[in-house]
This record gives sequence, C-alpha cells and structure tokens, in this order.
Amino acid sequence: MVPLATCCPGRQNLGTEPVPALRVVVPLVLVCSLLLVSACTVASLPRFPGAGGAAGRAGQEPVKSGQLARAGLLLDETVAAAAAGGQLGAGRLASLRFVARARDLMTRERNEEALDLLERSMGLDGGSWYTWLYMAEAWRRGGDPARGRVYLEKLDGRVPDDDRLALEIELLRRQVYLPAGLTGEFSGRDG
Amino acid sequence: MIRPRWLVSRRFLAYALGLLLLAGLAGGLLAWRFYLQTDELLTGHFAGQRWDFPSRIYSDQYAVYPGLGVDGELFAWRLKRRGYVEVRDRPEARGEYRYVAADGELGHPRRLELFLRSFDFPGRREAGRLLDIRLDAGGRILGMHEGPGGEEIYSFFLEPVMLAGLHGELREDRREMKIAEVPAHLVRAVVSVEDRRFFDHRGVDLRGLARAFLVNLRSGRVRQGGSTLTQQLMKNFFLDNERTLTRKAREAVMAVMAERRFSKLEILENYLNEIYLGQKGGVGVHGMWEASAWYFGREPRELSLGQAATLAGVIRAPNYYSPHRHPERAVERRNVVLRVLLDVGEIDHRTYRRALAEALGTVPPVAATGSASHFTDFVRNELKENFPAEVLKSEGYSIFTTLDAGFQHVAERAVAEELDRLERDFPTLLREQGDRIEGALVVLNPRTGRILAMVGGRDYGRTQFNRVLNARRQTGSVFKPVVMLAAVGSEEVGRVHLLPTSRVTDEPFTWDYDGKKWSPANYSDKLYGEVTVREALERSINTATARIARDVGIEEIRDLAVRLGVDEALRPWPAISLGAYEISPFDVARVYSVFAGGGMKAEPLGVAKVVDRTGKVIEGNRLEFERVIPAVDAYLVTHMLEGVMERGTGRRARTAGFTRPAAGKTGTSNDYNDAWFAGYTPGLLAVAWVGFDKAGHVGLSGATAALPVWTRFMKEALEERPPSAFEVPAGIELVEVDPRSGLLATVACNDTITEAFLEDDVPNQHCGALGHLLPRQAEPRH
Repeated sequence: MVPLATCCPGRQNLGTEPVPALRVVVPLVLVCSLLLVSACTVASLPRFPGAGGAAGRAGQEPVKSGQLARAGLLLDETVAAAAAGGQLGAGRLASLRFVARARDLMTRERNEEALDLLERSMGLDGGSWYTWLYMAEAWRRGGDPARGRVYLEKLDGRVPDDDRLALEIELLRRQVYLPAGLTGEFSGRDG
Repeated sequence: MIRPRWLVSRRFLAYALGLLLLAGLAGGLLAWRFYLQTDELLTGHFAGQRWDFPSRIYSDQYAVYPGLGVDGELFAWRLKRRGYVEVRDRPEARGEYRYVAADGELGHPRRLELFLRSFDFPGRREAGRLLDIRLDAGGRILGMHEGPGGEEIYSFFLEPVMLAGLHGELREDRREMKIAEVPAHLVRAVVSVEDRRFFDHRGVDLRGLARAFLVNLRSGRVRQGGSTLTQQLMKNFFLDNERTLTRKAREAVMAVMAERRFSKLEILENYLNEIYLGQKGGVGVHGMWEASAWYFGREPRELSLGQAATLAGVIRAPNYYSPHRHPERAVERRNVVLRVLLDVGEIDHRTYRRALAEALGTVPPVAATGSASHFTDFVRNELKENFPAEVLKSEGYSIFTTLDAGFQHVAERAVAEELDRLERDFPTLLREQGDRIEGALVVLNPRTGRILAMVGGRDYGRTQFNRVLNARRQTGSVFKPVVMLAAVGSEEVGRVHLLPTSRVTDEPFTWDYDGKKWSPANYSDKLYGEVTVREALERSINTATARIARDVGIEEIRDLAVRLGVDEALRPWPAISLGAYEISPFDVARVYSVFAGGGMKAEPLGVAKVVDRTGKVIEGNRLEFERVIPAVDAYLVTHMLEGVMERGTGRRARTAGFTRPAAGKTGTSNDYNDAWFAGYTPGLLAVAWVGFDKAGHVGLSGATAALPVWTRFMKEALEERPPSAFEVPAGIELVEVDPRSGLLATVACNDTITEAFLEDDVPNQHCGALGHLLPRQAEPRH
C-alpha cells in the first residue's frame, strides 16, 4: 500500500488556519484519494513474474501505459551491446533492429508498417521477447488488442527480472485482456 | 401537246434539286448521328477505364542484413532474377552492381556495390540508391552504408519478383502513367520521330500526308503512313488494321473530333500508355512504362536519352526492332531517332554523340511464367474468395505473397534434379510414358507460417496437379513424432508420461481393438529387444512405437494429432500410430510447424497483401497464431528429432554434408508406395514427398528417395543464412546421460548423449554408481 503522505506531499502542514484549510483540504483529499485509488489499482493488478514491488516505487518517474519506455531502453542497450560485442547471432541482431525500427514507426503512428517489420522480425528470430512485446503493443495501438494476447502469452518466463519493465507489461496486459470498450480506462494513467 | 423544252428542264431541275436536298438532309442527319455516336464513344472511352490492367502476383521482398551471405550462387540468382546487371565500374544506374576487392580491384569480393532499383512497396517507396556493402572473407555482410561514406544502414530489401500476371483475353501487360511522369526526352523522341507536327496540327496533318504521299510515290511502295499520333491512337482504340480508305477516313474524322474534345497532353498520355511495344512470350508489352521495365529494367523517368530513343524507335515495328531479339537493329533504329532529334534541334551535337556512344543497356528478358506455377495457382485460388476473376484481370492489383523466389528456385531444382538422379540410380522407377515418379516439396517459416516455397510436381507443363495440397498419401513413420509427443510431453498433452530415456520392449504383439486384432511389424522384420523411446524414434522402430501408442492410448494420440492440425476425419485406429492415414504434404508441414514453432500453430499464409493501382492496401493478411502445446513439449520432440538426424534414419543428410542444427523424420508407407521426409532447422521447415500418382510401388524408403530432395534444398537454401541453434525454452534441462540406462553420465559410462528433460524429470542417479535405480518405465499420470 502506498502511504497517503507520499501521494500528498505537504498535507502535514495544513490546519493552522481552519477556514482556508478547509477550502484546500476538501479538494486535496479528493485528489489524494484519486491518486491513491490509482496507485492501489496498479498494485492490485495480477502480478507478472518479476513485477514485485513495482507499484511501490510509483513515486519515481511515472510508468504510462502505451509507453514501453523501459522496454525500449533495454532494447537499445541490447542492440548496442550486441553490435559492439557480437554476442547475439546475426539473425537475432537483425531481428532486434527491425523491432527498434518498428517501435520508431509506431511513435510516428505508422502502425501498419511497424507490424510488417515486426512480422519480419519474427521470421528471423522466433525467440525474441522484444518482438512479442512490441507485437502486442502494435495490435493494441492498431485498435485490435485481443490479437496481441497470443504474443503476451509467449512472454511468460522470458522477460528479464526488471520491476519497471514488469509494470509496463502489466499495464499492456490489462489493456489487451480487458474488453475493447474498457481499454481506455488505463490509457495514459500514471502507475 | 409538246411542252416547251425549257419547261421540262425546269421541272427536272426542281426534282433534282429536291432530291439533292433530301439526300443532303439525310446525309446531314447521318453525319450528325455519326458525330454524336463518335463523340459519345470518345468521351466514354477517355472518361472510363480505357484498358484492362492485369493484376500481378509478386514474391516477397528479400530482407538483407549484416551476417547474411551475399556472394554465393543463390544471391547471384536473386540479383539476376530481378534483372540486376554486373558491371566493371562503379554502378551508376539503378539495377547495377559489382563486387570489389579490398584494394579496389575486381577479384576476391570484399565489398559489394549495389544500386537498388526503385519499387513501390505497400506503404512506402524505395527510390533506388547506391549501397556500399562490406563483406568478410566468407562473403557475409559486415556492414552497410548508403553510398560511399554515407549513413550506416542495418537492413534493406530487394524488391519482390513478379511471378505471374493475371491477364484477360487480350493478354496485355501495361502499367499506366500520367503525362507528368513521362520524362521530357522520351516525349521529344516519340513526337519527333512519329509525329513532328503533333503540337501544331488538329488531328490530321495535311502536310505530313502530302509528304508521305510523295515519299511513297517516289519509292513505289508504302514507306510512310502519314498518320498523326492522334490518328494512331484512334486506330488502336476503336478501329482495326484494315488498309482501306473508309477506315482511314473514319480514323481521320475521329482524330479531328478527339482533338476538339481533348487536350494535346491528354491525347499524348493515352498514346504513351496504349502503344504496343513488343512481346513477352504470349503477352503483349503495351505502353512506355511496361516497355521501359521490360527492356531496361527501369522506370521511364530513369531512362537515358539513348534508351528513350530506342523505345521511340521500337514503335514503328516492335518485333523487328526488338532490343532483346535484334539488338543490332534496335541500335540502328535508335541512332536514326537520335539523328532526327539532332536535326529538329531537340538535342545538340555533344548530347547526340554521347547518346550514340551509349550501350543499348537492355536487361535480359526474365519470363514471369514457368516458375512457382503451383504456388501461383494456389494464390489464385485463395484470391477467389474475395476477388472475382474479372476484377483481377482488369484492375491491375499487385498481389504480394510470402514466397521466397530464391527458395522456390532452389526447391524446383532440388525436386527436378533429385528425381532425375533417382531414375538414373534406380532404373526400376522408369515406367511406361505418363507414369513418372513424382515429387512435392513445401517450405514454411514455422515461426510465422509464411509459405516460402511450393513445388507441386516435377513438371508443371506436364501435369498441373498440385501434390503439396491435393495428394493425400499415407504418411508412414512421419507420424511417429505425434505418438512420441503424447508419450513424453507434459501433462498438457498426455496422460501417460515417459521419458526419452524410458525403455520399451520391441517384441511382436497383438493389439485388440473393437473386436479386431492388429499386429505391427518392423520394416526389416528385425527385432531390437529393448530400446529407449528415443531409439524407437531415431531408428523408426514400428513395434516399439506401437507399444508406446497402446500405452498412451490411441484416442489420446488421435486427439493430439487433430490439435496439431490433422483433419477431424482421423479415426482412432491403432494403425494410425504408424502413419496408416492419408494426408497431404501441406498438412504434414502444418503438424511439424508446431514442433518447429515452439508449440504455436501458425496459420499458413500465402497472400500477404493486395494493393490497388493507387497503392492502397485492399487486403492485408497478418500472422495468425494459436498455442496448441507447451513450448517445452515441442522442444522435447525437436530434441528427439535432432537425434534422428545425428544417429537415426536421417543421418544420410549429415553424410551428404548438411551440418546445421536440424530435426526431422523419415517416412515410408506400406509397401514402399510413398517416401517422405519432414524436417526443420530453426526458422525453416520443409516437407518432401516422393511417389507415383497412381499408387504404385516406389520400393525406396523415405531416407533413400525423399531425404535427398530435402537435404539438397536445405543445403542450398541456407547457404546465405547465418547458422543458428534451436532455442531451449524455460522449463527444459539439457543433461549428459548414459544412453543405455538414462542415468546421469559419469566417467564410468561408456557412451554419453545430451538428453532433454522437463525440469521435474531430470534423473538424480548416476550411471555406474552403486545402488542406482532402474530407469523409469511407462507410468500413468495421476
């Protein structure tokens, strides 16, 4: 559970003047409650392996659904390390580069092209969790999140143990599994 | 009474005048009707769809990336098939390439300079650019840049190959272009040589006619036609080739009317799209765009002056001046056109001399037909659901498929040449005419379900029957991995749980079912006593496999097979455990793609996108997956099938020099009527079948007849690809064991193999150690 004080910094200083304090307290309590509910909602999401404690650090930079920022960072690091050290096979490296290009296309709302590249990526390397994750994200962005499910299933046990990554995946998972009409509920919400 | 003569003459005159008036009126009415009809015809034709545009079936584009081999035979074929031409100097035009040694001299390849062609991919345009590709000693790509010293790139695509055109009755190939897309030098060349006064006359050029008349009179034969471009267009659109005055008159009238109705540029645009410019086998080449691509492998805007002059010259007699068939005549005619351009002041002397010095620059004609015919039939059939045949023949769709043209080439060659070899090595296969040994090969990417190659028979010209899809044959031992999956898989696939190291008895037995009896026997009638599950699969032992099937339960095996993709009609008879059921090579590929794809069943995909003439995607098919078995179970089967390649009935692939990680299984049906091999590497799955169409005795096993086809294909297809190993999924442990006891290997073991176990199944006893337990036997799961 996230402490209320964490959500409402400065709340302890209220109350020296009763009337102005009331004016401030009521909306503040409302805002804090909302934030608290948000944090608790995220914390109550079904846990993905490695997600432990992710919500507890929500005071850090917010994790937004639809923004696989941590995954993107890991992808860039993996590609850079592989290009420098040559640890990955040529097929896998090429596949990851397709994923990176697809990610960039998605941010420019060129989702169809992104899907094309992700499918190519799968053809080159069937074992890359990055491909599956971005496939699921591409289908979510494409307005057909249910088609992303099969890719999210493939992620089980394959992603590295990383709290923020786990949280990103959880948010995506919720959207992919929720009925289409409810997906907006989580869109853009801070974790 | 005699009337005065003048009175008779007046009456006659009146009659005559009346008649004349009537005739004039009728003529006027007829002329007016002709005018209206012609006007309607012209406006209707120009406003509507003037031509039928054949749809085109394309292969997939080819992804090139660092690590890929690009100096082998297959990559050379890929370039050649796309009309790329090797040059000695630095490539300067799209479609050219050269290999350069590190020191800059031609020789051992260290760099590849490749000038990509332009192509309209769905959703994006490749404009064509020069790439500088660094290679290692083995010809694999180290890095790539755009041009010398340009930006580093990590992948690019070779454009798709056209596989077939879907033509109407006219069999014309044509791509439309707007007048603004036509390069000025091509317009000048055409106008100068065909109708110099095009921009001055009003449809009919009286001066031109007079000149033609004089020329023809002087020479005593028809040398010049005197027809304007507009007249030629009217003739091509509405009239026939008859040389009569009536036809010429109609042509002239229509030309004048067209010029009143439409602008010069509209007429010119239509002319440049309509004109006949040669022949591709049985298909006519129409319009400058098509001719430009056919003769020079370029878009019109990429044409040099010499090439534009060549095309303009071809108009007069496309087959006589064909740059492909009569290059010397084409050059001669081109030079005439260039001279005309000089004479009329369209080019200066310097430009003229430079264009004269140009090589003709044609690309070799590559027939679009004759390759991948079974696959294109399959695609036509797939398209039928959404697109009526008439639409496909007239709307000019681009149909992008998943086929790898290079793999298709290798597959066709593997089937044809290996069957020829079989006939040489085993003359008993030669029967009376019309009953030749046949073969089929289908290739998928098991990660995506994309169909990469399909050979439905050894000679499409002889028989169009697609054996990949339609030949339902007994699979023999190719089915055994399904039995083994049910036996060794996790609880999600089987009630009984054996290990690959579990021992089973290979002794004759009788299986009672539904009041019937079935007694399986081994092919060689040899009995092995006691073998492991792995050995039973690797050596394809029937009796041991049938015993396993009995322990597992034939209903369970049947249901699992259906889950993997075999059709519902499969009956749960004991004999199915040894493949006594008829399915097609395509269905076998679907089943094996689950093993190769880590437990995911990918829906086979042949048509990726259908794009209309404006570039809009009107049908897009995406990958479809379904998890049907856990990844660990798929891996257990793969691991055992790797053993088939290393030690079992598939080892002939190794002796033939195929060394990559691979898994596969031979199959031979009852009475040696069908020979099969189904196998895969990470990322590539191929199923080969060999047999007679009329069920007949081949007399050869899968290892002898089908495995060589598979091996030949895999070796050649994978020459470009960097090697990769099968991915071990989480939940699997690879352990060194003693193959006899199945216990952990120690120095006390004579022999060891690497065995794959589910995490909970890893043995905890060591071979040779005191008090070791007997290996596990078949046991029901509780």
